[in-house]
Order: sequence, then structure tokens, then C-alpha cells
Amino acid sequence: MSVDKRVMLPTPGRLSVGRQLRANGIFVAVTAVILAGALVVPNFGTLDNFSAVIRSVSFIGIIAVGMTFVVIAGAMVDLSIPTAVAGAAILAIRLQDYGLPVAIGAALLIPTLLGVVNGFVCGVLRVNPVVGTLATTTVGGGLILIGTNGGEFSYGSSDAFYRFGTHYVFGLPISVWVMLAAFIVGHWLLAHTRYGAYVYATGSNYAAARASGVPVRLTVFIAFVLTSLLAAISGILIAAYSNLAAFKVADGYEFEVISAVLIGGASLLGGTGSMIRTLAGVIFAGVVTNILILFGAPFEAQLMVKGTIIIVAVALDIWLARRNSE
Amino acid sequence: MSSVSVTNTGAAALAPASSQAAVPAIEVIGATKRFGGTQALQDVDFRVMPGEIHALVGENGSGKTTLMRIIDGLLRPDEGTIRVLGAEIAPTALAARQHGIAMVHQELSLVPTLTVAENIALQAIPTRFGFLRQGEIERTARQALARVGCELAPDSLVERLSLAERQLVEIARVVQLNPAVMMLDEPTSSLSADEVERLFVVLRRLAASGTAIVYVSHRMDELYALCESATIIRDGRLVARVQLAQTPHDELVRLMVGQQLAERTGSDTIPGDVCLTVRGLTTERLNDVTLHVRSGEVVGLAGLVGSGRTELARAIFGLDPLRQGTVAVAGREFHARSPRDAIRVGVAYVPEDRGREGLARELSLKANLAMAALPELSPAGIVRRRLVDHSAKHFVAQLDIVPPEINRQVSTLSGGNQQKVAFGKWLATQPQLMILDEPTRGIDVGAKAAIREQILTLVKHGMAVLLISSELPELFDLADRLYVMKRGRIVGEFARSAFAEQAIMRLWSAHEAD
Repeated sequence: MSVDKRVMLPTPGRLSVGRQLRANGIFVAVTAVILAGALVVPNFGTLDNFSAVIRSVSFIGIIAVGMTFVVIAGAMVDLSIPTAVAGAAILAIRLQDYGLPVAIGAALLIPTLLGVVNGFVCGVLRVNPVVGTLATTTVGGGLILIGTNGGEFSYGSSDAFYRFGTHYVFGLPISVWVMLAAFIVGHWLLAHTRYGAYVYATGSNYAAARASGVPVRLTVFIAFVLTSLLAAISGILIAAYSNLAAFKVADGYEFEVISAVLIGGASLLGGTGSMIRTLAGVIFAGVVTNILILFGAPFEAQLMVKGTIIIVAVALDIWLARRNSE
Repeated sequence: MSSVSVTNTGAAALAPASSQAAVPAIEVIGATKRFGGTQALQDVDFRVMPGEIHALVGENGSGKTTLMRIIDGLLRPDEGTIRVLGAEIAPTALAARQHGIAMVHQELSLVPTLTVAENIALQAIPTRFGFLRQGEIERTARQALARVGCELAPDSLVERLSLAERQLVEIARVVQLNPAVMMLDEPTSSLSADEVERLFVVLRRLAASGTAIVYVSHRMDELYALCESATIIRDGRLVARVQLAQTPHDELVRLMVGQQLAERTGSDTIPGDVCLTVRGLTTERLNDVTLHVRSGEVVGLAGLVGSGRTELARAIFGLDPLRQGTVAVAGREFHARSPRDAIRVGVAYVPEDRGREGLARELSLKANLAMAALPELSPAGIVRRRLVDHSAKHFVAQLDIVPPEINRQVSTLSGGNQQKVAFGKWLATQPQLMILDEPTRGIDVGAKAAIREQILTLVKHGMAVLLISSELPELFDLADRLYVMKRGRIVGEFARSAFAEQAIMRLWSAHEAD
């Protein structure tokens, strides 16, 4: 009979197929959807479409950088994103009469305070982040409704602001450059600094990290503050691009951001994930949405596909993790 | 992967003459089990006759618990078969239950928020039309408790019970099932001498009615008092099956250990300055604890599980809040509100449960080895990869961690090598005092030897060590001095020259005057 080929293969390589897939599956998936799009979908490969896709993912992508810290630190998720984004957008538009520096300063600072509250509630008081940020986003939403007379739209008056928001630099929208910068800085923080090491340690085993002298509460606190800060930046860019702001401007953003991070392979249990994989997750989600739009799929169908993808991604991750641990 | 052939020739050869004709109550043939990179069991045969009280002995990490979990159906063996009274059964918990296999676990499996009676009834809750039959539950519980000679009220809440009482409830629960095979994993670790004697009476009575009993204990005198025969396993392999009456104590130990472990000799002791001083330390679980440890000295903490040894370590290290008292290291008093404060003054703590507080198992070896020393390895907040790698390689070599791959995920290492990582991560912080909580529990002989040697080397270089161990022989081998703890207090202190097993055990198990 023939030689058993399995014996010829090095054991570690064979054992780690699942692990490999878990770590790099997202890159395979991104390549696959892009190839599929280019081959089957009309207009997918055009420059205009490319530009539209990366602009649409950039607002989500900026926030996903912060959410990656929250998820890897084992703090589950931040559900207060719509409030932070809408708050920033509304402040940036409504306060333009006091001058752009005031408007942008307030739009950066005040939503970041939401992150400070999140960090205190979830990081220091150790309230479950799903409940904690759901509560803070509800409180924040109430404040926005008071400030906007029940959610009135507001339109920008500053030409400079609008020009900035629709500006292209080297052929790419300004928000895409901001996203790339956020990913580069985020990657550096996560992979090369003490804070990044603290984030992985805290998420991988909270008790062990604490017993090793890692300032676990502060680590989680900072992750929430970073996320809100980035949500505020994203909100300002959205306001500048559309020159209007509304209470519901970022409805559903929390889901899109969390999807991108989880599709990228970060685990809700904490301790695993990387900035590069989150970027791949952001691109994957954006391309899939784009293909659906190009095919003329109605919005309802898009929602159903997005929901399904996240279940598949998380279930696959759990399945591979369980297989690896056996 | 190569397959291991299953043979049962060994079992036949080892069968005692008296029971040749009879069918074993429980028989395991060629059990093999691997966890990740660890071979937990390798082709082990095991057999107990009906009515036989049989000791399963081996060091921590030898595979005893794995074998029992396989028999209990909690673990599926990679290879091997299980037979009950000659009939092969499926390797599942359900099949084990149906064939009358029952186990008293080392970690108690009672539900603390239920009553004693409810816990005893849990496996077969009597109901009528789906409603609980409260009277029936109580009656069963009362009978079961009476059988183990325990006078607890069936309606007391389990969370209010002492460890010893819980242990008795656990045993009553299993006895009540009239099992064909009953396995007990360290059932006496929290019992007093009286209670142990009563338990033995119950077990002998059960055996006389035909139950096969598998007994696991570290206490040699108990094995000789209770068991007829013993199976010895080491490093996951069957070493021998012996009749205890024909096997002297020394011989049994030699079979178990297989190699000589490093121990402290009088000449090693260098009297140093006092490193750790604890005065009047009081917490929720500790009462006015005062002790000291000198540099270059190993001080042991002996006592039963729950006596406050771990709580003392946690309080010193800032994991549990202090109510009263002071802690000082090298004359510097400090109040640790978190481990950070303790680490800063040079304290390291290797916790008892390495999976929970010792290691981030999903992360790499080097990430774990760097975790406690991140401030030193990341000057100005930026992690210097070269420093991290260099330090990791250094400690991997020093502790002989296998495989020596610093990027490997810690969860893929064997228990012993994981423990070396949990230990080694503190060396990078250059501590003055190491508190070691059961540092050799559940690891193989090789790792145990390596860690014991490390402890002795560190002490020789002036480290102060506070060593918590439930194994008196280990404390006797390593410690220069030891304190005995009971119910959150220090109840005795012994110098090395005065170490005496009997006296120490009397101290920790004696009933209080009240």
C-alpha cells in the first residue's frame, strides 16, 4: 500500500491548520470577496466605486480602532457609539457660530467625556460593559434630545468646515487619511507599547494580569476613552462631509463597528485580535455591503446579510477555538 | 500519529491468586489520554475487585485524577476500554452513572445555595407530577447522613457549613446511591482524626456489601490503615500493582517518586536580615497573624485547606484588603492596596491556581514571562522587543522549559512547564521575597524537581521564601522553619530541628476547646 502521507508532514504544521485559519482566515475572506466582486459584479472595479467604498468604511474604521482596544482588553463592547458620534456631529455643526475652533474643540471634548464615564462605570466600578454603555448611551441620547429640541436637524454655516470634509488629498477623501492614521497609531499603541501589552494581558486573564501588577482598571478605562475620542473624530468628519447633523446620524454604527472588529477575528472573550485584522474586517464588511448595493439589494436585505455574517464569523471563531483547545 | 496497541496481558499477569476466578467490579484496559502536548496517561491497566478497597497512588500530576475522571466518564480516553463487572461500557458520564460508578471529588461539587437535603437528592430528585416531594427529599437525606455518622440537619444551607461538614455531605450523597464502584479523591484533606475514623468505618461497611472502593490520599498511614492493595502510577504510566501488606512504606514511596528530589541541608542556611515582617495582620479570614521571614530562609506555612495560608499570602500581596496590622519588607512598611504596591517593594506571589491567577494561557510564553516585569521591559512606555526576547530566553533556559520556544502559546505546554512559567515570570522582577502557594501541586516529577532546585538556589543567593504546601514532606525537605495555621491564626512554630509530623498534624486537626 502507499505510504501514509500524514506521517511525512511535520506535526506542528498539521495541528495548527485550525489555528492558522483562525488567525488568517479574514485575509483569505477579504481577498475572496474582492476577487468575486471584480469578476462578477458590474462597476465594482471602477475607481469611483473604490473611492465610494473606502469613504463609506472610513467613518466606521476610525471607531473600530478604539473598539479593538475595548474588545481585546476583555471589556466586551462599547454600545455608546451612536451617541458619541451624533453628539460630536451636532456640536461641530451647531457651535459654528462661535467659531470653528470652539465647535471642533467641544465636539472632540464633550463626547470624550462620555468615554470617561464609560471607563469609570465599566473599568473602575466593573459594571458589565453591555449594560453600562447601554445605560450611558441612553443618558447621552436624552441630553442630545434636550439640546436639539427633540432631535431637530441642523445645517452647517461654515464653508471652510464643509470644504474640509469634502476635501481630497492625493486622490483620497480626508476621512480615509484620518482612518489610516488612526490604524497606524492604533497598531503602534497595541503592538509596541506597554499600554498595548497591558491590553492583551488584561483581556487574556484579568485576575492573572492584576496579580502581575498590571493596572487593569486603568487599562480598561483608557480603552473606553480612546473609543469615544475616535467616535468623536468620526462624528466631526461625518458632519463636515454632509454639512448636517441629526440625532440619528449614527444609528446602527455600534453594530457595524463591532461586526468589523469581530469579523477581523478579535474574540469577545478578550486577549486576541490585532489592528491589522480589524482593518481587514472593516474592508470585508464594506466590500460586502458595496456588492449588495451594486446588485440593487434593498436596505432590508443588507441588514439581514450583515446580521448573518456576524453570527457566522463569531460561531466559526468559537468552533475553531474549541477545536484548537482539544 | 502512531497508534498504541491495546494489550491486557499486564492485567492478567498481575492478578492476585485469591481473585483469579472472580470478575473485577471495575476494569480499565490500556487507557491512554493526551492533553495538547502532555501525555497524561499511557496504556494504563487498572482493576478493582468487588469488595476490595484499593489505593490509587502516585505523585501530583502522575495521572491519578485523569484515570479517575476517565472511569467516571468525565473524560473520554483516546484509547482503552472500561469494563464494569466484565461488560464493556461506553466512556460517558451517563454510562458510568447507569453502571453504578460514583465519585467523591476533591473539589467539592455541592451547590452552596441549596440545603444539605437538596444537595443529596440532586442526582435523583423525587417528584410527583413534576412537583418536589419535600418529605421524601428530607427522609433520604436523613438516612444518607446517618449512614456516614453525620448529625447535620438536612435543612441547613450548604454555604453555612465548614469544609469538613461539606466533605461529609458529599460522601453521604454518593454512599446513598449504593454504588458498585466508589472513588474518593483526597476525601480526608479537611477532616479531623475522629471524622476520618468514622469515614473508614462507613467505607469498610460499604466494601463488605460488595462495593469496590478506589481511594486516593497523600497520607500514607491512611492507605495502610484502610486499603488492601494499591496501584502505583507515575508520569502517566502504570508502575506496579501491589498488596500493601507485603509492601513496606519505603518501597511504596520509591515506586511513587522514582527519583530523589533536592532537599535543604543544614549547612545551606545562611542567617540573613529579616526580610518580611508581618505584625497583627487581621482580615476577614485572618486573625492577628504575626510572623517573619529572613533573607536566605525558606519558611513553610503548614495547615489544612481553608486554614488561612492562602489568605495570608493574598493579604500580604495586596489581593485581599487588610483590616489591621502591618506588613514590612526589608524594614520598609507598606500597605498594598493592589499587587502593584507589593511588587514595587520586591514581593512576588506564585498563586495556588496558576490557571486563574498565574498565567494568561492564550498568550505566548514570552508575553507571560514579561507580564510582571513590563515596567522594566518597556522604558518610556515602549516595549523593547529585544529585551523581552532576551529575558524570556534566559528564563526558559534557566528553568529548562520544554519546548524552549518563546513564541509558543502557554496553554500548549504541560502542567509542569506551565508552572515553571508561572514561577519564572517573577524572576524578571528581581524580588526580595517570593511567596509560593503550592508551587509543585499537580505537576510531574521532573518539573517538581526543577522548581525545588530553583527555590534552593534562589535562597542561597539571599532570597526570602514563604512556602505554602499541603505536603508535609515537601515542607520538611525545603523549609528552615515552619508555622502551622488553623482557622486564620498561627497556632505553632517549629524550627527545622524540631519538625515532627505527628505534632504538626495534631495541631491543625485538634478540636478547639469550645
